[in-house]
Amino acid sequence: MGNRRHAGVGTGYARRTRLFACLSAAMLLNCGAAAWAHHSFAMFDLQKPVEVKGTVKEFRFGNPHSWIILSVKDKAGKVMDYPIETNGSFYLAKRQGWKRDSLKFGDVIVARVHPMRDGSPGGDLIAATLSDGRKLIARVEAPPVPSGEKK
Amino acid sequence: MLNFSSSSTRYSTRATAAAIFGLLTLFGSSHTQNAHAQNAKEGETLGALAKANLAKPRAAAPVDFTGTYNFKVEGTDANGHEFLPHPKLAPAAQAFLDKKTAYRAKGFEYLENAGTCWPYGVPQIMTRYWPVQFIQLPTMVVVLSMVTSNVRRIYTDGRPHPADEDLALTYNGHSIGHWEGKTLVVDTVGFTDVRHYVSDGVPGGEQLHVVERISLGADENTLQIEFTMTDPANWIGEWRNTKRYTREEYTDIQEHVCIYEEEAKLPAFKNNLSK
Repeated sequence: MGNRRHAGVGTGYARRTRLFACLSAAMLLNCGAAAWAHHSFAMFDLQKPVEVKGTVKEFRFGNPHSWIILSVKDKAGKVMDYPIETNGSFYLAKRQGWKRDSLKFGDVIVARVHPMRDGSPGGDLIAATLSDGRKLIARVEAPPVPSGEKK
Repeated sequence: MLNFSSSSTRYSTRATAAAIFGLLTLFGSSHTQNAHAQNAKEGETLGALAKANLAKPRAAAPVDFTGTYNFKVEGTDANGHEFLPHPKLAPAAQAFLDKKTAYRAKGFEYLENAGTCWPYGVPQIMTRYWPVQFIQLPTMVVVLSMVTSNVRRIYTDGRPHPADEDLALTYNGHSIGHWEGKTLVVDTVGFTDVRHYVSDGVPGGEQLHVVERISLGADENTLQIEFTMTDPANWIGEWRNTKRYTREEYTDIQEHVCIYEEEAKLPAFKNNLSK
């Protein structure tokens, strides 16, 4: 499963913060239930998704998690591993149409993730966009909640 | 025939030997392989899949639970998988939960099992995000829970629990079931207290006793389990909670294995503390 050879260096490390839509506990249900299933979500910042650009070094398609190790460059240009976990193959395949080879060694992707709250490299995948424009969705992102409205 | 309804957990050696002799005679020499398997040692119970056990005359089960079911998210907790609300916890259990809650507020986990490949155990394997399958046989109901490829065996052949000193303490415990009308009543004991949690952050110990009343809705598409759990070391009184499941006709279970070294690569791993 997946390709575990070492890939070339990533094409950069972009990180930008966006306002995240999941504001209430009810919305968190939609956003986080899948990953919550295997272990706690406490270490991920659900409020501040970021986008990380890199090259796929490893991709595992299985249960309980699928995961991606991205090769990315940090701000100083140093190449580092950025581990990203996501749903198990069971749900990625059933609900999001992923295949075992949806991501391949060497693919350049932009991964939208919930990053680690402590700022260390790594996150939980929301979606990955490949260089040809294909988008692989890992979880259904909740629609924006109008300000002041909480369910 | 063997007397499984005896309140004693040690069956009479003579009765067992007589029963084996009778079975050997019944099946004859052409069933030598089968006969070989019936060389029971003292105190052994006929296996749930033994031909002689499966062939025993018994009343037909009132319900066939065989099927695949998805846990239905309901309830008051954030994701429905836990057994909220908690009963009044014993001081040590409450202290453990408080410590875990405090860690979580800071973005850490404390002694979490899932991310480190420790077993969930009963009852948690019944309420995770992945499906459960029931396979009903005359002598047992096999429950396959996809999470970490768990298997539960609920013996319905009339056997009692093993004597306490014969019970290996485990995460899924030892389960026996009997019918009350159309409800399968499952009684489970023999739990370990080693990192075994009944619900998120609430430990279960060796005194844990889980009773599940399992039934199907009128349309046979909704499975319901009413849990009644006691564990005097960890909480006061009965902890009751009802969970529901939806029958899934287009779902099967995939392999699900937790590999410690692979979990260790994941970002969440290092935030799971053991102190």
